[in-house]
Amino acid sequence: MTIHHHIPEETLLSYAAGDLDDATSLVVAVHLALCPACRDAVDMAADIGGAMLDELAPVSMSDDALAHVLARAEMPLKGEQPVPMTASTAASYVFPEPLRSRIGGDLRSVKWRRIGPGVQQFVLPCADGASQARLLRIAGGQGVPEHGHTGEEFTLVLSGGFSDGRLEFARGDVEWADPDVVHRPIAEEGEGCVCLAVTSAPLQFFDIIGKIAQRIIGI
Amino acid sequence: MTGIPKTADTAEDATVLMHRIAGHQDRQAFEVLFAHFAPRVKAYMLKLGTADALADELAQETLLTVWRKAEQFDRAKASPSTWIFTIARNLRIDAFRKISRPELDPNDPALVPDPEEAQDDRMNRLQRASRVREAIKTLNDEQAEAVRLSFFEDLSHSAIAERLDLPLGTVKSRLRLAFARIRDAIGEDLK
Repeated sequence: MTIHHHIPEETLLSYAAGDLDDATSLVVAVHLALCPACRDAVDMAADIGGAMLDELAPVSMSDDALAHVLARAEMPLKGEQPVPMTASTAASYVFPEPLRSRIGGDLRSVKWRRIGPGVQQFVLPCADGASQARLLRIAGGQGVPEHGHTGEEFTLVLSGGFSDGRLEFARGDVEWADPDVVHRPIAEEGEGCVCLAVTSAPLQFFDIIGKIAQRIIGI
Repeated sequence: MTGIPKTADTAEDATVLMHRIAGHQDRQAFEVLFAHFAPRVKAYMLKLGTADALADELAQETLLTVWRKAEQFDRAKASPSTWIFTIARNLRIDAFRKISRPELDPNDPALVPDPEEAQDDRMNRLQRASRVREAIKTLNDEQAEAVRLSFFEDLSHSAIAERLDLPLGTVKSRLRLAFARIRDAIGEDLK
């Protein structure tokens, strides 16, 4: 599997710095699980954080800080060991971590809701109200109505693929769109597409069906 | 073996301390590491606007995590400063959110592994961290400021743009240039 469309570098840097909202962090982390090159870039960006931490002027800790930590270090840990997955189930995961934990399972356990012809969605719980994350399942040859963006949109392919009219996107690829981009993603024939879409602001639909769908379902 | 380093001022010494903690639950090594990192992690928390008591608590929590997860510290993956930075960053985020920060799981069977040649060629991470450290000093003022605001002010790209009264695109391109510059510096004669 070769990734052709990556997360922008300035976004990787902000992920390493800890600045991204929850939904955007989620789409970055899932891309990292599928893209060794971006993983390497984020490791490098974390080195920037480590170097800057070392350069900070130290601030005195409270008097009993070390004693507190040592006392707690004595206490055994409970219930933090992850259960290892068996190899037989492993090969078939569609969702890498941290997506599986967020949903509580893999593709089969998603409770889809139909939002239009050939399009289903599942809105993910997020820790803050900043951006919204949703899974989209689009039947082969179908698409999301043409739309523009008032903010940023990241669309990560998890299964199948889609085309935006110019470029093809397959598993692991991310399409990044900002307010300058108007597009109408179409899922590939046959299998269709499952993707994770994160939007920082509501989409702008140009046709009446999209506008109605937006009013009713809050896409 | 020649005893325990007296300070954690260099990455090499900090690494020796980490291995003593991981391999022998060495309290003395931990105390040296604590003396170096806890006050810096606290400074980091304060810079990001955390109140003093909570900053102290989060610094303690960070070092406690270092103790507990020491055996996960892998010299091949990060320098001690980098590793401790990521722990501090995540604990701070988690302190303010109901759901923990999305992070990949290195043991996830669905994770696409690094290509084999990358594993063989991979430069020693201490070496890389020290190159990054040098490269940061070569950033121009504008790039350095954008990076500092990202790491120490917890600002999104658009918030940085607002703070500096610049177009969003300018902020993004400064961060991109800073990133490229650092990457070029570590790429030299090592790839």
